[in-house]
Amino acid sequence: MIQGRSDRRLEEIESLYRDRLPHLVQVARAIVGERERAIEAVQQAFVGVIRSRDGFRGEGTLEAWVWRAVVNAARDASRQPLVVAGEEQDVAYEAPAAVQGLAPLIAALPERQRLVVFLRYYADLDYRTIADALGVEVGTVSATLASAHANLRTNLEKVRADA
Amino acid sequence: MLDVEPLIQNELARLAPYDTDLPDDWGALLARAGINPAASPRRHRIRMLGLALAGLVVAVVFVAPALGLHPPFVDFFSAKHAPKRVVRQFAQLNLGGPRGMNPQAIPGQTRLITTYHLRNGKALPLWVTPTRRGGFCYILGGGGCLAPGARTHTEPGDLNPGVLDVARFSAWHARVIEGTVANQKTAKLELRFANGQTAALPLIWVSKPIDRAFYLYQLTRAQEKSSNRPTALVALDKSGQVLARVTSAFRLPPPWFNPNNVSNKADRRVILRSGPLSIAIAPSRTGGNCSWVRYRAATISSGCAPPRFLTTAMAGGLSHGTGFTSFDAQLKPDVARVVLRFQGGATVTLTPVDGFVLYNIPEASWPRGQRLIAAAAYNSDGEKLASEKFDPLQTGLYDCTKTIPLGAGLRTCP
Repeated sequence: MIQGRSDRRLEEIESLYRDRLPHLVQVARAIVGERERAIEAVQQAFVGVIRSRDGFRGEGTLEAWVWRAVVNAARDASRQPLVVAGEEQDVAYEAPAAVQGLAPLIAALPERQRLVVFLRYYADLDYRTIADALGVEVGTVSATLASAHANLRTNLEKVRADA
Repeated sequence: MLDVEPLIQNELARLAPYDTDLPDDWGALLARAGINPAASPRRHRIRMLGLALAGLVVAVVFVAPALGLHPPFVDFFSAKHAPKRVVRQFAQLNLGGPRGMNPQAIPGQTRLITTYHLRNGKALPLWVTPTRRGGFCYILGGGGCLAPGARTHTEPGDLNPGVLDVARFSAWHARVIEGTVANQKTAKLELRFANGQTAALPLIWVSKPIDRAFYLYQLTRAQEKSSNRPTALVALDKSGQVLARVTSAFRLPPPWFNPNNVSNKADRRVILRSGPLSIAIAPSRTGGNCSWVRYRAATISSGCAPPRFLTTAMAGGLSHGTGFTSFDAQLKPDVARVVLRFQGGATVTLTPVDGFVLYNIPEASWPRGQRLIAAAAYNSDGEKLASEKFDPLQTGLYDCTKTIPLGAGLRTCP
């Protein structure tokens, strides 16, 4: 019986993986700044989710649980140095192709605000799922998003006024 | 108060581009998690072919047998007008492209033709507006503009390319094929699959000035697999005769296209640096090297074209991001040097390394009057093998301290 429930959970996790992988990688990439590391972070998160699937108690949605694992794995990855062809360098989030407009302002938001913006508008998650993914209250999501909007609005108007 | 939500949605794609080329490695993940992939309980649910697009809502429908049109038929000028935010998106379509490529959409004429509903519950409105050139622009998830008679080039396997327009996009974890049909004799639009199955795609005809039919088809999970993938879109008249066919849009990319398929990242080494930019390469199993152009830690572009597949001696161009504008190119082996020419007469000569050149354009060359205007590739005898020109008046290619208004709420660097 337990095995059957676990297997069903594994199917649900696989379904999430196949349906949501591009979005998960996008958001992970927004945190770690580099595609390959983002993919690895997402995979690392799924390995953890698969291993601990029996521990999922249904408090919140499975998707929110997966998002939380991915966000945590990406945050961990962003704190580790990048190793490329024998060289080491510190990695900070960068907007690689931001040209003008909001992109650099979004990139400059505090991490929590930027994350909520990505989860809301890029991953298209509702407030409840974002709250579960980040381990915060729904009201905190709402307030964080409002703060992000206010920051962006203020900075954008400032940029336009300066121009 | 400034509404930042639509701006956020527009800008996020720049920050983290949507990646449709991710490895399908569920089995490897299971193995890493200590589960035998062969014992995975996944049951493959092969869904029947066909549309599961529920609740197709057509704004204004006329059955018009007298016109010889197949219902549903939407009278464009009777359809619902677009709200301001959509009108602004169409206005921005006119402004975002290179100079001389303004599609001349008429934003104020934008209409809602229909709303498609995907299986995941997402609603995709189809917005359409005519252009001053006699074509039209549309937004449907993605979208674009078509000029009348724009497509005349025929790829192998295609027939009457001007009749069928095919686009593909992925959004909200749905894979969608959409486009338009120009020939009103089309009685049936058929999507054909590698496994021999077919699906009939519903058409929505729109009256003049659009004068086209639109279609949308959401692939099932099974149809995304290589063995079941779509291979052709065919327009048939009422007697079953083929009016037009597109196969080129469904060809799989060559295996050497994706660095993940043909190279080992562990073999990657940096061969060129210029300012904050670098090019790293790794041997490709199909010949030549895969390359990654990077801005600091972020990969800007990557590819694996073997030199024998290069159609020009110098394949490259300008890249721009916050804080940099650069020129990079992959070269055929006989290119000995690349000369960059700037306004004012300055030149820079680049020597290829492993078939690549890279140049981070210094800030002194960002203002108008100092910009890059041409790149030329020469062999060791001084013979010019290839050249490319750049428009120094193109906006948005170089950072600036003072942006200029483009209109429709957009600003850019001159």
